[in-house]
This record gives sequence, structure tokens and C-alpha cells, in this order.
Amino acid sequence: MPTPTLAMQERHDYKRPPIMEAVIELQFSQALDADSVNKTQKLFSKNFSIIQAISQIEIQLNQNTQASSITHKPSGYRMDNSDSTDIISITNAAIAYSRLAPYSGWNLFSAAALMAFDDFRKEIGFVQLKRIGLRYINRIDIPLPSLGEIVRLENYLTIQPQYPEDSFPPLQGFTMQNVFGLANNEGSATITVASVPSPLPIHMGIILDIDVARSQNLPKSQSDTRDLLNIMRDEKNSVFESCITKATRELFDR
Amino acid sequence: MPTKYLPETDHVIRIVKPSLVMRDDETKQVIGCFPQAFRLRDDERDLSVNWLEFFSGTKEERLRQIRDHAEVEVRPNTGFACLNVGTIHETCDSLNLKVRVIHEPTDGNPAHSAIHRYPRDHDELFSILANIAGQDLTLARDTRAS
Amino acid sequence: MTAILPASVSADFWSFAQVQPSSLAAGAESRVLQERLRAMQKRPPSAPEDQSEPRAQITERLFNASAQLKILVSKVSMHLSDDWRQRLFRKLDSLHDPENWEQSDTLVDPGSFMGFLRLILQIGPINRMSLGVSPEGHFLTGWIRDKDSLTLEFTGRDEIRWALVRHLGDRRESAAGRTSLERLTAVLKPYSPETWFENANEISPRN
Repeated sequence: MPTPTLAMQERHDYKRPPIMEAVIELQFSQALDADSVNKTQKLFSKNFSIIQAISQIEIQLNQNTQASSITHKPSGYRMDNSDSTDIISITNAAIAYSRLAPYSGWNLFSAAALMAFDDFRKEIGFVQLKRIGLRYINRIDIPLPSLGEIVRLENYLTIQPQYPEDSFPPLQGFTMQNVFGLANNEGSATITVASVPSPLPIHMGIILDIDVARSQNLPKSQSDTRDLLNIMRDEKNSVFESCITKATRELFDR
Repeated sequence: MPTKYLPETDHVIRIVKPSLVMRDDETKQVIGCFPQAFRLRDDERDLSVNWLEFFSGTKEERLRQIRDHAEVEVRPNTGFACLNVGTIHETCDSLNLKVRVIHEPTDGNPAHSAIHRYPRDHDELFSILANIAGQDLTLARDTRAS
Repeated sequence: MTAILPASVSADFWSFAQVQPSSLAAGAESRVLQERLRAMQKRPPSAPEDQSEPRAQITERLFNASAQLKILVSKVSMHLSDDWRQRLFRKLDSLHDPENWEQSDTLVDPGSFMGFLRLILQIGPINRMSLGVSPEGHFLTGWIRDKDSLTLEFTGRDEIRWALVRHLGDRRESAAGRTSLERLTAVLKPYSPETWFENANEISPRN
């Protein structure tokens, strides 16, 4: 029996897309040296001038002397533009371009990311990849009838935790991660759903985090990367539309 | 040394941090100050003010002297909020507060004064004083000699 | 079918549902599950890293502080107009201008700023606000119309300290109090809050 594949869903344009963050990440098959990481930071420092170092903590214990030492090893940088709407993260393992809300649309976001990656390649040289990821973190703000009222998750999500309601009281919170194969298992979709407080009064929040990745037949050129990202974007959109209901779509068009 | 109460016809200046000066959104004009400017700071027992008429000259010249003798940090957008002593008494009386505005010169500031028996937690009083003083607020940058 | 009874509103806006620690186990499967759950508890990549920063120059501190507040705005930006958001950003930049900051000043507490954002989400974007910061790091907002003034201090956990002065003819009316975000408009109702909230565009600066 053939394995079911992702059914492509129609894409919607929403008045208020619930996107909190969109990320495109390129993971390197071999760790970048510190010099290359530092060069990358300098490359982007003019337009991404808010810089935070990312550190790893190394704990060393000498079994003979029992002496221990803790060192903070810088492993990369997070660089924000002046409004912190766009962020470039560089570590020895990966480079990522993030756009925070408000989402600027696929064309602008992907073009900015590809330009950054192109500048990176020109500065550092060709870097073999082991994974490309496209991740969208959405927050769905669900109005509560009133505080203390139960919300039926199935009214808003098609992917949710299940438990025997006859035997348990209502959930108070959850975090759930699901992984599906894509593209004949050359890729994957990781869907994380979790309850969170909402910033809106008398609302609850649901995070719908969709991370679509490829780890085989990775592109070697800029144009191939762009083409692959467009395909991955369509996959991500299909996953998103499959996970929500008509009632949820109405929330995004209010 | 006898206690010197400031005359009701005179004025005091409260120094207002830039972060407590209110500006109009569109015009950027100074329009007042937040009530928090009239709350006692952690290091204050009495509300620290400056006696305007201690110095001589025009109001502008007096403000320059207050600026020059200030014992707190003064930035270009620090505000000097002016209140009549009589108005202070009248306002406090209306809220059943009996304050005393007393001249207390320090080594660095001969005009330093303090409002004694000033409450630590009275938002209504602070908002009234800010509302009145905010109508007569001068920025430090505007006190430079012309 | 899944029913969820949301927990009461938490001011700790960024916390995910608590993952309960399991009883100690030694097998390989328990280690796998533990790693997965630990990975899920990681904050979203956009959240600022909790790093103790070395003593930075005031300019850098202010720049970073303003950026942090803008990130908080981004979390709710889908509910704000671009125009209002941009104006707020300019005001935040002005509030964090190094020329206006003293060494003793306290940066805006993010929880306090979230209270302000939640008010805006509740009553709608308001114009002609003045912004400030209290010595405790509480975000302040205020309006002055002619001789009337209203100021709000966001003290955290959706609590607001408010104070107002109104002039009705020759009489001055004043009031102050502390209330919750949800109750603010009800509490201010006797004092015609539309003077400041809805008619904000008509506010003219004091002459």
C-alpha cells in the first residue's frame, strides 16, 4: 500500500497572518571555523548593528585532581537590524535569517534571506550544506467566551492532543511535537503545537510551529536554493492550512 | 539657626528627569511632566526643591543659577518645574496635608529647600502638583545664556 | 476531541505549559524522551538570550533596551496598524535617546511594557500619548488636553496606577487609584476617558 503523501492545500492570503517568526536556516555539513564566523559578523554589522554573542558553556572536570573549570566559548552571533524585525544568526553550525512579526510577505522575506546568504557565500566561499530548514512560528489568539470557560481545540485545530475526556478533567496546557516525512522522505515536517498565554485580554494562545526541512539533494547554487525554498514554502503552507479550521481562518481575517 | 519658611508669594523649582518630561506626540513640544516627578526618590526624606527667589535677577537668570548649583545630574532635556509656595500649601491643605516648605541650603546649593511632612504615597497630590507645575516648565537647554 | 481549560492569565507571557518532571528512570527510551522534551522547552529563537552582559556603555544599553521593547511589539504587531507601530517605534527611540538618560535611570521593565501593549490591544491604538519611565522602570503614558491630564503607570502583572486632573469651569477635580487592566475603562468612566482615549487626535498641545 503506498504511503500517503502531503496533500497540497489551497493557499490563503490573510488580513492578519498569525506569523510570529519566519526563519530560513542553512546548516553546514562541517563546522565553520571561528575566523569565518567572525568575518560573517563583520560582513553584516553595518545593517544589522544590534549584536549579541552566542556562547557555549564548556565544563571541564579533571578526574585526577577533581578540579573543574567553566569557560564560555563564543560560538556565534545574533545580529538584529535597528528595529529588530530582521535577524541574522551565525554560528559554527548554521546561518539563519529570521523575520519577526509583522511578516513582510514571502517575496520580501525570501529575497532578503537569499541576498544575505549570497553575501555570506561571497565572503566565506562555498560551504557544503547538510540541511535546509524553513520554519514558521504562528501564534493563534483564540477568544475565550469568558474566563473559566472551556475551549474546544478541535474547533480551531486539526492536530491536537487526544485523551479520554470521560476519565480526565480538561487539559490546562500542552506541548506536542509531531514529525512527518515529506518528498519521499528526502525531507520532513516537524509540527509543534503548544498552549501559551495570549497577549490579548480574554484570549488564549496556541503556538503552531511548522518546520519544513530537506537533508538530501541539497542545492548548490543560489537559483537552486531559491527554487527549493519556493517548493518548501508551498509544503509549509499546505501543512498550515491542513492544521487549521474555518473558524481559525476567520480569526485571521477579522 | 532659626527655621526659614519660604514666603507664600515665592516659588520653588523641582528638577525633573528627562524621562519624566511629557512631550506632545506631534509637535514634540513640552507640555508637562509626569506625577512621578513629584514622588519622593528613595534617597529623599523630604521633597527636594530649589528656592527660585533666593537668586536675584530675571526668572531666566534665576533658573540659570539653579541649574548651575544643582546637585543632581542636569541634561539638556532636564526640566525645571516651577510651583508657587502658596499653591503648594493650598493644594496640600485641600488634601488634609500640612506641609512645610523650608530653606535648607547645602554646601553646593545655597538655594536648596525641602518640603517637609510630604507624603511618600499620594498619587492624587503628585498628579495635581505635576499638572500645575507642568504648565510652567523650562528645559535646561533653554536656560543657556543668550 | 480535546477540551482545554485555559489557566488564568499569566503575566509570564513567554512561558510554555510547564513540563512535569517524570520519575527517575534509567532506560534508553526515557533518555530519548527527556532530550525531546528539553528541546521543546527551549525558547523560540527570537527571544533574547538570557546572558549577563558586561557593563556596557549607556548608548549600547539603550539601543539594546529599545530593541527589546520593539521585539515585544512585534509579538502583537499583527493586531496593530503599521503606521501606529512605526510611530510607537519612533517614540521608543526618543525615550531611549542617550542625551535624555542619566546614569541612575532604570531601563523599562519588559513586563511593565507588556501591560501597556495589552491596554492598547484592549482599547485600541491611541494617539497623542506622551511616554516616560518611572525611577522603578515602570512604563508611563500620559495625555494632557488644555489643563486636564491623565497619566498611567504600568506596574506589572496587568496592574495600573492612574491619576487624573480635570478642570470643570472654575473647579478642579482630581482622582488617583490602582486597578487592573480589565477594570481601567470602567474605573475611569465617571471621568469621561474618551476625552483622552477616543478624542486623542483632537488633543492640542497646551498653549
